[in-house]
Amino acid sequence: MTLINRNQKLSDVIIEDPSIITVLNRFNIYLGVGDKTVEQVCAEKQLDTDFFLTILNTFSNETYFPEKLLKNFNVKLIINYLNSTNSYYRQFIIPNIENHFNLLLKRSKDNNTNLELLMKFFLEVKAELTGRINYDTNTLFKEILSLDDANSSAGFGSEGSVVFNDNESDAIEDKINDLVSMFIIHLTGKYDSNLCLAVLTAILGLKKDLCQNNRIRNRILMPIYRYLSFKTND
Amino acid sequence: MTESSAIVITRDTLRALGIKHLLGSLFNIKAQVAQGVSPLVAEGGMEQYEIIFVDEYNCLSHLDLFIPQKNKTVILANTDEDKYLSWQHINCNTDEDRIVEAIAAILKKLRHSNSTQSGLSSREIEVLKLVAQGMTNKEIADNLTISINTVLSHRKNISAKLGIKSVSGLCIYAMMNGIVH
Repeated sequence: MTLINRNQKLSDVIIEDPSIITVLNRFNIYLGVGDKTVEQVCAEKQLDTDFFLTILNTFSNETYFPEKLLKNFNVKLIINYLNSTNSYYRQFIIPNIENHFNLLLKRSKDNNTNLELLMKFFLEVKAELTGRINYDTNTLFKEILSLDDANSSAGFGSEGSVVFNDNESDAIEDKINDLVSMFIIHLTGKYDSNLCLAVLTAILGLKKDLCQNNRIRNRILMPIYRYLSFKTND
Repeated sequence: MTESSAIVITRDTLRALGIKHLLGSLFNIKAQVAQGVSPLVAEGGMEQYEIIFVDEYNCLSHLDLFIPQKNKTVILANTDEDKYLSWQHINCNTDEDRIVEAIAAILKKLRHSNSTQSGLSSREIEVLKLVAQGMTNKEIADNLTISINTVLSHRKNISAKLGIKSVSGLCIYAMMNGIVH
């Protein structure tokens, strides 16, 4: 897939990869985009076009990840984006999976016990993901922003207290992959196939999104955080 | 496809390399070659291998080790004579097609007797059960009297076969399939 560029019509970008709609929503762009180019939409919404394009390309192309470029963006831009991604998970994706899952359980004949076990596993994943989102919002992002402010005014001397745990993010991704495998490989018993597909599609959407999000969180924000902590203590 | 593992134990290096080549190129089985059994025992036993090829000399010299592994042991013989009683064997002094056919037949039989619907061997199911019960690798090794390396090897195979990595995921799978309650 070729990289999205600023002169391309946003509608063409969406037609090429509809899954990008969820990312556009995080920038307050919704369907009905007209025939404006990416650059025109960014100007209208007062968005940093380079940052917007980098995020779209990173999301759309699994192999594209311009670390240097991303690290040069203002940390506030990155945190704003990650915050809106977390809100999207909390307000839309997670409730969407849960609602469909509940409906699937309700409509499955003979009380399919396998589905009940899968729901139990999903709730465990949900608790871990929600825990991480709360931690990001209430602790991690705040500390990074305060380090960023302190660096511009100088004199902030405390050591960074937030500890990144890369494995934790990988553990959540692993569990989502496991959940997908359980549906695709191991599901047995009677169930409503349309609802089951809806649940699986929503989980696959979360899997892709979280993987891209973790790349930005762990490979971009983490080095920036370390750098800011080091610079502040220097 | 998950790669299986084998060991070829014989003092005849060329014969060992020939079997290793056939296993790798035709059956996707990665084989180790050893001239004797001593290093094997030191590394944690033969549990980890799906199939063991051994020459008559080594087998007879260490019958105590091979009898418990009899169902997956294949003697590298020099003749078609049925002098090995109930032990599986292949005649190495014949043409390539016959050797390949003999290995394929033994593998088919072995995999049929070992496999469940999920493709897990009976040993892997035992390991999975203990993982789902919350045991550590060390506890599983002690419980089954095998080495930690063998436990790790079983766990790797279980995850590859099931597509499930996390302990809680394996636990849910075990409950779904009545392996634990």
